[in-house]
Amino acid sequence: MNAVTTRSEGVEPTPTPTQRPRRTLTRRRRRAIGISVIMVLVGGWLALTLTGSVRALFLPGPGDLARAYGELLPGLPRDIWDTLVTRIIPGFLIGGTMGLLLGMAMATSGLVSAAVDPIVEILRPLPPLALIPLLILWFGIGGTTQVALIAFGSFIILVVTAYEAVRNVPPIYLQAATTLGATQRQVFRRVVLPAIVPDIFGGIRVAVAASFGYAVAAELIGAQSGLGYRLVLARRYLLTENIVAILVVIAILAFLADQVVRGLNRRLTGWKPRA
Amino acid sequence: MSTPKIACLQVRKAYPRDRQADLVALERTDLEVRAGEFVCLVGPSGCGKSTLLFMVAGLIEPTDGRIEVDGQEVRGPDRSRGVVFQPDATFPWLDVRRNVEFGPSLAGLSSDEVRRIGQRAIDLVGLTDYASLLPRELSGGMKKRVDIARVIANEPDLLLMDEPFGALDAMTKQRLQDELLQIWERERRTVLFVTHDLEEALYLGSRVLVMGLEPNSIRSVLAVDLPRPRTPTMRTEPQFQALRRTLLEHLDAGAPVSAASKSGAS
Repeated sequence: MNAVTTRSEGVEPTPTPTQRPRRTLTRRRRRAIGISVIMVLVGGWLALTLTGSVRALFLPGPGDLARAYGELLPGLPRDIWDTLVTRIIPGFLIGGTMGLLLGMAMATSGLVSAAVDPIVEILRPLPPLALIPLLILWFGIGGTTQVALIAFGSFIILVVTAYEAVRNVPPIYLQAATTLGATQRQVFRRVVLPAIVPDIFGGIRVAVAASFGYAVAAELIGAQSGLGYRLVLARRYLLTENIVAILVVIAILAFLADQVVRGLNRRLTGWKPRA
Repeated sequence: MSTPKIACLQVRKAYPRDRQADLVALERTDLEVRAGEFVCLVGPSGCGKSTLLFMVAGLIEPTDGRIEVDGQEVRGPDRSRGVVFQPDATFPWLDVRRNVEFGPSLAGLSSDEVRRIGQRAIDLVGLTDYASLLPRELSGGMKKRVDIARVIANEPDLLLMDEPFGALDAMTKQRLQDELLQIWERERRTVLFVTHDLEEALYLGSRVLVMGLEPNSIRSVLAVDLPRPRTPTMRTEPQFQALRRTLLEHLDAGAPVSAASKSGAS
């Protein structure tokens, strides 16, 4: 009897409640399938372009791309710097920080919520891209417009994320903390903050991806440098290979940014049970 | 006469509803618990037993009446009144040790002191070898031990337990009951224990307060005159079974007064 009890009570990792059927493939198989599909697509691209069955104006081949990179390469570091370092990063940091702080303040203070909630609700459905003409009038085409747009977009995403995250902290954690003697301040610092980190990272991933979109869109319309500006120039001179080359650069940058956020997330929320 | 540990005086809790009579979670109720007593509250779902416990904890404010602990009116939660909840309340981002140290670490003690108090509580509930594990690596019974150790580490005067073992399997439940009794025998803290498991109430409590529905209040009290320390074999003895029968009769008497005439109503 006793032995049985002991065994039934041992340490056991909680089994995953519902295994999604998609997961039944092994990791290796999944990777193999993914790579095969990419290889088929690349093969199709090579076949179409090298045989000359599609005009390079619509789909450039590998030779065109290589030439494009040769032409773009000297200016590329500068364009990446302008778009990423002077626009996306400051815009995201300014807007994201303000959004996080205001969202948490709204969720914890009735006064702040009453004051700010109507404004946020009015601004939230507004497509941020619609602001570009106004922002260009205000800030011109020197880069501030992009920063402002990215900041606004990140702000809206993270204000909502932070608000919802705080509101979704399980009440049992708050009750446990207060009955253990935590003051309101201690509850916030020691329970609410760690509890919302996983949700916040979800919002950060969305906001970082959106920031790339806002940056390029605002550069397409009003800028004198940056990756989006290069896209406009390339279209103007019908240099399709340059367009594709720049798209690849943007995709790589956005992918790397997402990897950074995911890596941080894994480090900070390793405690969370994962399916 | 000494002040009771807990005194509830005509305590009532009602929630207002739109265009309907108030929802009465607890009708006027008196309750006294002496220091060092182990008192169980039993009753059907919705009889207000958890509401009463949450009000003593300070997590819910009574609509009417007054709750005193050591003669002082309860105003909000306090570390001297520890609560073990039914659902798992361990903080998933902290390992077992940091969970248990949570209460002491709020009180401004030195880190050595916090560590020492935490270790003692961890040892007390048999988690010594698991101190560095995260809650997601623990079974339900182990997480419940963390909940208990976390409250014990705070050295509360009063231990309030709201169906703490309700979600556990039968064998884990019995084991934790015995461990809880051992801790109680050693420390003699006052315990108020809510459960709907009659055997659990009789096995643990010195007194069982029976609550009923409509009106939601304490209907009767059953003194459990089984010797201490309680041992698992007592559960099968005739005296225990007789108490169980009496308790069932008390519970039937606590059914809604007009239950037969409106069996359709909930």
